[in-house]
Amino acid sequence: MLRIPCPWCGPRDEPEFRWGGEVPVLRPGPPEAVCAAAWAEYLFMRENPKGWVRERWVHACGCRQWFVVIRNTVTHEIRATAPLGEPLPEIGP
Amino acid sequence: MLERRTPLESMPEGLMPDGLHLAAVRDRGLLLLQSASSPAMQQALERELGLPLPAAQQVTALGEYALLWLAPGQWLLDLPAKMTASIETALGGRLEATLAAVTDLSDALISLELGGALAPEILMSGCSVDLRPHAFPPGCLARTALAAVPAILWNPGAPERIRCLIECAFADHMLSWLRSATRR
Ligand SMILES: [Zn+2]
Repeated sequence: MLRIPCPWCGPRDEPEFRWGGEVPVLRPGPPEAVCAAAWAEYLFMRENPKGWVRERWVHACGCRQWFVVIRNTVTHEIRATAPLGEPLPEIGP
Repeated sequence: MLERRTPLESMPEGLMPDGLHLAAVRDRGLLLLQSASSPAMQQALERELGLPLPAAQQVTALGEYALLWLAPGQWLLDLPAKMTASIETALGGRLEATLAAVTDLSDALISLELGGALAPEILMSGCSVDLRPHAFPPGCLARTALAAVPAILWNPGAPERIRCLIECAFADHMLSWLRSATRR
């Protein structure tokens, strides 16, 4: 089980959180100008890297805030977390 | 006029074993305070009640009032039930010109008080927060999952006491979980 450090509540067990997917994923627009391939890219395609990834989590059973986590998909190590919109270290090698 | 009742009404007092006391906290009101500006909320609370805003994961208390941190920009005011309507109106008035909301949650949540030397250990069998007295001193608060449901746990300052706020609908679940956790 992951121990995730919420920026407001501190480290808690993974079942208190919900995963919100990789960031950034930018919505294309305006809608009438976006072709099917671009929508498919936006809806379904992710980097899914082996290693460091930047993703969104929400502390669903705690303060209910969204934040960004830098996590290693191989080792599950968490390098940093930060509230949305605040700077995070760059993803390293 | 409807009679005001809580799901804990039928709860027998003092049913728990030695080392654990469980009681429903009665005649309390709860106001959810939300504000886009902490200074505006701070000023309204200080003028109305003389209560400072708590830091994250903390509670400030004054007399019959306790102010619980919930999240950035969100607090919960625990107050005597008979004061709820007048304080709601007064705070609402002071915050009128700002982006803020005061909401009466008195009937949405129930408040339990657990006491006794066993209380931290029993609660910790259902959540991932360290509630032992040295790690969870008076004024500490944690929002967490207790027995798989969202709960607000806080230390009201009395020795060996932990308050637990949960949604009304989970009252029966929580009581039966507490009974089985106590047997283990
Ligand atoms: Zn949190």
